[in-house]
Formats: sequence, structure tokens, C-alpha cells
Amino acid sequence: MTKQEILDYVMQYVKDNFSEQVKNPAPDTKLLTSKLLDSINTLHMVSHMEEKFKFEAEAHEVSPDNLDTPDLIAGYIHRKLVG
Amino acid sequence: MAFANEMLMYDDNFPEIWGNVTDWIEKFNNLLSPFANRPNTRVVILCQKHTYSISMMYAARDLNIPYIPIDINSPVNRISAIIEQIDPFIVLYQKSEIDVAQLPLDNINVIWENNVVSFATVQPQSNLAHHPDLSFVLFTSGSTGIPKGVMTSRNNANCFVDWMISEFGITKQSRILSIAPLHFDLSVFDVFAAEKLKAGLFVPLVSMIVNPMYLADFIFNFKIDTLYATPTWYNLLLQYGKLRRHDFSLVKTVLIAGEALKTQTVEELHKYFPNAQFANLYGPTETNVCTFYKIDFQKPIKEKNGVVCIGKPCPYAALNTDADNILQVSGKSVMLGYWPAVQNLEWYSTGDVVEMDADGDYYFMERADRMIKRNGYRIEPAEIETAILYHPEVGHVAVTAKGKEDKMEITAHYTLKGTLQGEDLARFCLLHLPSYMVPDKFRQHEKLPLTSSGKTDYNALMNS
Repeated sequence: MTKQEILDYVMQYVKDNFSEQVKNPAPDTKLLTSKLLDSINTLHMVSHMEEKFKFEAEAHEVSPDNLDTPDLIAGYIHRKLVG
Repeated sequence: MAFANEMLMYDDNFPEIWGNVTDWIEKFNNLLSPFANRPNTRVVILCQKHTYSISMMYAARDLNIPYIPIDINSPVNRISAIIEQIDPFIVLYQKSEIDVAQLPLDNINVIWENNVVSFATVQPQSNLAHHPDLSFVLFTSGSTGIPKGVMTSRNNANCFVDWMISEFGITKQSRILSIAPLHFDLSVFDVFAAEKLKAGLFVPLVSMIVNPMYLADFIFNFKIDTLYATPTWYNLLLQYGKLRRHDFSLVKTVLIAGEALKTQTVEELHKYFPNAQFANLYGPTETNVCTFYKIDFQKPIKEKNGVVCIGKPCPYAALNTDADNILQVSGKSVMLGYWPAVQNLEWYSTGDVVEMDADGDYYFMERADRMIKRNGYRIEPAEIETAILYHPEVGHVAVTAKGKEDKMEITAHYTLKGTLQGEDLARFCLLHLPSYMVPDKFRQHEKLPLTSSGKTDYNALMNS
């Protein structure tokens, strides 16, 4: 799966699940550091992505460095998948 | 001087200062000493929970100087409102976390600082003296829209801590997780029980405090055996902590407080902490824990509607109910009053409607007012409404809440005087309210429904 395909999925996920918090998400919309998503929303998203893409997140990976924008999320998942 | 020598504190924020907590208590004690014995010396702590802020609490307590920990993740407006009420003389702040120039603090005079914290005096606005028994003030949401300060004496805190140690067999060998923020009353137990017993206090990394995977690893790696947290925290640990990856058979004590506890949560936790004693503790900040229910897994868990019983009164508390079944509490743990007035309350009315069974065990049924509990935090909808009404485009606002799965979902219903997008109001709330108070949903109405007596019809809004 390409990073672009993952990004498309993440963008759709954000639109479907966080329409209340994020009105017009873009690949560079800051979700965490802008506080648009709270910690529980973030954990739920990570858990969903783990199940969808079949990888296991480690504690130190659940951070804005990997999850702040849809683009970063897609890059993180892609790195996990390609090892 | 009663320093906490020999106390074992491990702080993941500053692992390099392992074992040096005594030095830091002494340092802060020396800094505070010249200002002790003044009726208006109060210390505001604008820091995360770590070695420095905890050491400052011990030092202030030893010198009988009241301290006020403030949630630095709150918006500046809210922090300012608390500082204006307290009118402190001393501030300990964390430069990397907060810009004190934005706060109502005059003539900030930094007496000492390192690369983490700064110790400063400021110019008080008045000569407001505090009660000589005051130990600390914890601010909670206020029904008038302004945060209110619960004043706790040293005796209030001691009777609770001593009872916890005795009832749950906490010892010098205990290794206690220090998870509750300093501005949250659950932290009174871990901070002071560990110091009193010279037990182990294990402070997680602040930046990872909302990461259940990290916390599960932390509990396992440091052989932590005593946990005290909210049902929300335990549910997050269950749902996202990947507890299956570790063996938690060393955990001896699981204490739960701050919100209604579901039976299912206890049953799930027991699978991962099979050797632990469990207890559901109940009490508002104003009384700290005043009832407890120890869970006996050999018998069915006592519950009503899936919510675990809150049990019997602690030995220092007397309970009563009024004509509306609202729980009243009396005894040594009842607060001095709301800042700054000492109220000498004989009975404190909790606002919680309870029932008692034939065994004398109490059950929490519902709130008598609109107060909400979310993530263990008490939230007065009026405080949210007051903040939203500051928006110039908003006409009227009413806040409702309902439980949804494991989350309390808050909705702000509003009317407009001008034009506004929902996201704008969400962003506005983030600037004026702590994140745990920000509504999940915003619903615009042409006008808010009214009851026949002309008041906002919250029931109609809940069902709209």
C-alpha cells in the first residue's frame, strides 16, 4: 500500500469521525498540537489504524511527531508497514 | 525539620536527579523560610507534577505556608482568575510551560532559578490573610461560572492519608504510582502517603501521562504496586494500554475514585491485576474520601444499575441524608471552606443523591443539580456557559451532558446574534476553558426552549 493510499484513508477517517472538531481537514491540518483532537480521540484513532493496517504501535510512537497531521500519520503508518 | 529523608522518588521527567528529592526539599525550604510566619505568604505552583513541584509542596507544608497548585494546561484567562483570587506572594513557575508576563503578577522578582523552574516573589494586591490552619487550596469548577477554591487544612489531609495507609496496608515497601495532577485531590494520597512512610513515589513523564501504553510499561518496569486513579483512567488503561503484554501480579492495591465506577470496569481490571485488593472510594474535593467499598471477589459485587456501591463511611466521617436523599458529610476531613472565607461547616451537602441498603452501604444514584463529572473532573455547566457567552456573536447558551459509552458527552446549545461557524466556537472554548470542559458538540438553535416557568428547558435540549 502506498503512502498516498494510506493518506486518503486517514483523511476520510478524520472526516467521518471528527467532523465536529475538524471542519475542513487538509493533509497538513494540525490535529494534536492545535488541540482539535483530545487524547482519547487520538488513542481511538491509533487503535483503529492498528487494526485496519495490522501493525502494533509502541508507547513512544504515540506522539505529535508521528500523529499531528494526516500527512504525518500516513507517513508513520507507511514506515511501520514497510519496516 | 521534618524533611522527607530516605524517601524514594523516581521521576521519569528528570531521571538524572533520582534520590535527590531531599536536597530539593531543603533547597525550597531555605528559599521559603524568610517569608514564613507571614499571614499572607501563599505559594502558587505553576508547574507540571515533577520532583520540583512536589518538593515545593513538602517544603511549604513543613513551614506551614499554604500552596495552591494550578492546572497550567488551562487557558491563561482561567489561570489569571485563580491568581487574582489567591493574591499570592510567591510563585514557583516553569518557564517552558507558561509565560508569566501574561498573568496578573506584579513586580516579579526571581530569587532563584535553574533550567526548569523559577522561584519568585510578586507584589500582592492586598493584605488578605489566610486561616492559620490552611495547608492548600484546590480550585474546582464553580456554579457561578468562576472557579472556586476548596481550602484544606493539614488536619483535613492528614486524617485521610493516615486512614488510607492503615486501611489498605500501605507500607515503606510500597511503590506508589503518582498519576493524578497536583491540582486534583487524588494526588493528596500519593504525594503525602509516600512521604509519610518514606515509601516509593513513581512520577511518570508529563508528556506521556495520557498514553496508556507508556503507563502500563511504567507500572510494570518499576514494579509499582499501588494505584489510585479515576474510572476514566482505568478504562483507558484497559482499552489502550495493551495490558496483555505484561504480568501485573505484583500490583497489590487498586484504588478507584472520582467518578461513578461501573461493575464491568472492576471485573475487567481484576483479570489483569489478579492479586490486588480493590476499593471504590467516594467523596468530593470538599470532604476528600468519605465512604469506601472494598470489593470481595468471592461475593457478587454490590451495585445498582451497573454502578458499584460507594460503601460505608470512613472512620473520620459521619453521613446523613436530607429530605431529598442528598448526602451530607460531617467530620475531620470536611474543608475549612471556599477561598477565602472559613465557613466552619458542621455538615457539607454533596449534591449527590444516594440510597442506602439494609447493610448500611450507600449507592450513588444521580446529581441533584447540573454538575457533570468527566475524566474525574467536576464541571459546572454554568462555567462553560459563562465562557461561551464572552463570545460577542453568541446570544444565549445552555450546556447539557449525557453519558455515551465510557465518555461523558457535553453539548453546547446556542443562539446567535451574528454569524459564526461551529468550529469557531470550539476554538473559542479552547482559549477560555480547560480542555476537559470543552463541549464535544455545538448545536445552533433559533431560540432555546423554555419551560412553562420561563427557564431554559434542559430536558427538551437533551432530547433535541
